[in-house]
Amino acid sequence: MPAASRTAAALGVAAVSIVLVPMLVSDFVLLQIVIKSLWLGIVGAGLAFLIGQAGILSLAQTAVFGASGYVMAILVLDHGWGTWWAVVAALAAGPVAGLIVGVISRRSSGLYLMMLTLAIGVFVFFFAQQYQPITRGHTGFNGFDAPMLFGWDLNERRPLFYATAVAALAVTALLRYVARTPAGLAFRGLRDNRHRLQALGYSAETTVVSAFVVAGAAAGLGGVISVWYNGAISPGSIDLTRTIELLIVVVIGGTLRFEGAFLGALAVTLLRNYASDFTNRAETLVGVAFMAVVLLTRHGLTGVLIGFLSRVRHALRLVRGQRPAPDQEMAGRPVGRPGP
Amino acid sequence: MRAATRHRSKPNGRAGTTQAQRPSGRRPTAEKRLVAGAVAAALVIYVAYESIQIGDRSLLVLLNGLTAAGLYFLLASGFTLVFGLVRVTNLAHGGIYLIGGYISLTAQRTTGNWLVSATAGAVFAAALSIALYAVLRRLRGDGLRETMFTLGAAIVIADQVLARWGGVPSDLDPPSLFNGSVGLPGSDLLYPKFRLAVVGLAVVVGLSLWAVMHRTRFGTTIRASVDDRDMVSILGIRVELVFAAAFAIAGGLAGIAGAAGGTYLSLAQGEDNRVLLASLIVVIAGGLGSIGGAAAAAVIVGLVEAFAQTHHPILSVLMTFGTLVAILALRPHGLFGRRTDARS
Repeated sequence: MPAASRTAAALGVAAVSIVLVPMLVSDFVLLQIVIKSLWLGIVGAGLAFLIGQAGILSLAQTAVFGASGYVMAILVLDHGWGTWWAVVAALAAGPVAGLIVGVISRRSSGLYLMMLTLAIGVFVFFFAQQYQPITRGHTGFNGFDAPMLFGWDLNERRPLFYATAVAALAVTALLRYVARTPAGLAFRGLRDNRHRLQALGYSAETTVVSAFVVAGAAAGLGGVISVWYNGAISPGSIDLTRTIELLIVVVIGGTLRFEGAFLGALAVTLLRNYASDFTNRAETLVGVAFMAVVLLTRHGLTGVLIGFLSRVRHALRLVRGQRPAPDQEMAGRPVGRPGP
Repeated sequence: MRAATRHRSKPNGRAGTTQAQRPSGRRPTAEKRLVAGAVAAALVIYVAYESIQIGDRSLLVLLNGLTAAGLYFLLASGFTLVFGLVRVTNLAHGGIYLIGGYISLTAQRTTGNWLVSATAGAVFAAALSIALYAVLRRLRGDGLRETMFTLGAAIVIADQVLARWGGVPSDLDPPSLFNGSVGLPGSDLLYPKFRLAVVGLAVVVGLSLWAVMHRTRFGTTIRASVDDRDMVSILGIRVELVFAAAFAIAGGLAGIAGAAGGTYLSLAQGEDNRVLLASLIVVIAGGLGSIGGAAAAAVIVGLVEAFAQTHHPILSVLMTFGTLVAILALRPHGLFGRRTDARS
C-alpha cells in the first residue's frame, strides 16, 4: 500500500474508533481505562520517542510533564488567567522544560544521562513539595475545573474522551512527522553512533537538546490533559513512583515504535485496574509482568505485534502465490541529507 | 571512491579518541580556576561560619555525616563493583538492602543475637543477588533490558516486603556490646555507640575489599575482568563465576548495610528507594566502577547531607543533588571515574 493511502486508512480507523468506543464501553471503562491510558500514552509516547529514536533514557519526563501541569494550575488558580491562555502557556512550558533538561544533560549519554535526568526529576519533585508559596507544597492544586470547548464541558466523560483522543492523534502525527524530517534522522544517528553523527557535521549536543524539546511537547500536552482528568496536580503526580510507572508503560509497549506507548499504557492500566479483583499484590503482578516482557521480548508488546503481523503478511503472500516481499517497513524510508 | 571513504573515516576515529580522553573538550582557563577557587573559598567560610554558630553540636553533624557515609559506602561499594565488572546497573540494590534488613529483623526476633541475624540477612541478600544474576545472564549484552529487569525485580521485592512485614516502620536492637551511648570528648554531648561502630564496620569492609582486590588472586581476576573480560575468559577462567561472586559480594554488603541501617535508622516502606538514590549519587559522584571513588564520595555526600539536614532541613535533598551536579560539572565521569562505555 502506498504511504498516503496507509495514512488515510489509519486516520479512518482512528475516526471510527473515536466514534464507536464511547458507545461500546461502559462509562467506568471509558473514564478509568480508555481516557487514562490515552493520556498516559501521550506522555509515554514522548519518552518512547526519546528512547527509541534518539537513544536517550530520560527519567525527567515526569518532571517536564509536571512543569506543564503546574504552570496551568498556578496560572488559573493563583493568577486568575483565562483557562485557554493557561493551556497555551502550559503547552509552551512542556518544550521549554524539555529544553532546560536537554541543555543540562546535553553532554552526557548512557548511564550518566540517566542519573542526571533522575537528579533533575527528583529535584523538581522536591521543589514542588517544598516551595509552598509557588506550588502550595505537599497538597498541590486541587479542584481544577476543565474548560468548555465548543460548548462541551470537558469535565464530562465523553467530551474529555474526544479531546484526549484528538490530542493523542496530534501527538502521534507530530512525532511521526519529526521522525521523517532530517532532524529525526539526526536523532537516530545520535542513537546509533554519536561520534559518527558529529563527524558528519551535526552537533550532537544540539541534537540531544532538540530531542528533549520534541519529547517535552508531548509531555506538556499530557500534563494539560492529566490536570483536566484528575482535576488536581500535586508532588505525588511527579514522584519517583510515577517516573517508574512511565518507564514501565514505555518498556512494556516497546520503543521500536513510539506508538507502542499507547499499547503499554493500555496494558498497565488494565492490569492495575483488574489485578486487584483477584490478588492483593497488584504491584507484584505488575512487576512480574514487567520482568516477563523484558525477559521474553526484545521490543515489548509492539515488537510481538509487528512480528505477528509480518508473519501474517508473509503467509498471505504465500497463499496468493506471490513472492515474499522484503521487509516493507525498511523500504521507502526517506534518506536525509547531511544537515548544515 | 573507496579510498576517499577510508580517508574520511580516519580522522573520525581519532576525533572519537580525543573526545574520550577529554570529554568536556575544553581546558579550564585561568579565569575559570579563579572562579572555582573563589566559590570553594566562599563555601569553606560559609560552612565554618555556620558550624561556629552552633558550637560543639558541629561535632554531632560531623559524626552524623560519617555514619551516613559508612552506610552509603557499604551500599555503593557493592553497586560500583557490579557495575565496573558486569556493566549492570542494579536498580534492585535498594530492595536487596531492605530485604536483608528485614531478614535480619526476623532472625533477631528468633535468635536475639545481632551478629547471627546480620549474617543471616547478608547470606539471604547474597543468595538473592546470585539468583538475580542467574536470570540477568540471559539478557547479556543488552544494557537497557538488564537495567529494566532489575527495576522490575525492585518493584516485586518492595511489594513482597510490604506483604510480609507490613508498612509499620520497625528496627533491630543494637548488639549488647554497642548498646547505649558514649560521651564525646571536650563536650557533654552523648553519641550512640552503634553509630560509631557502623563507621568502624565500613572502614573494616573498605580495607578488606582493598586487600582482597589487590592482594589475592581472586581480586586480580576481578580487576583483570574489569579491564578485559574476553582476555580473562580466554585464559581459561570462568568469567560467569567471577561475575556471580561480584553479585554475591554486592548483595552481602547490601544485606549487612540493611542490618546496620535497620538498627540505627529503621526499616520501612520506601527506604529502598531512598537508599538506592543515595547510593546512586555516591556511585556516580565517585566515578562508576571505582571503589576508592565510592569511599571518597560517600564521605562527601554523607557530610553534605548531615550539614544540610542541620542547617537547612528544607533544602537538604537539593544540596545533596547540587553536590552531585557540581562534581559532575568539574569531573564529568566522577571523582575517580574512568571513561567507560556505560550502556544503559
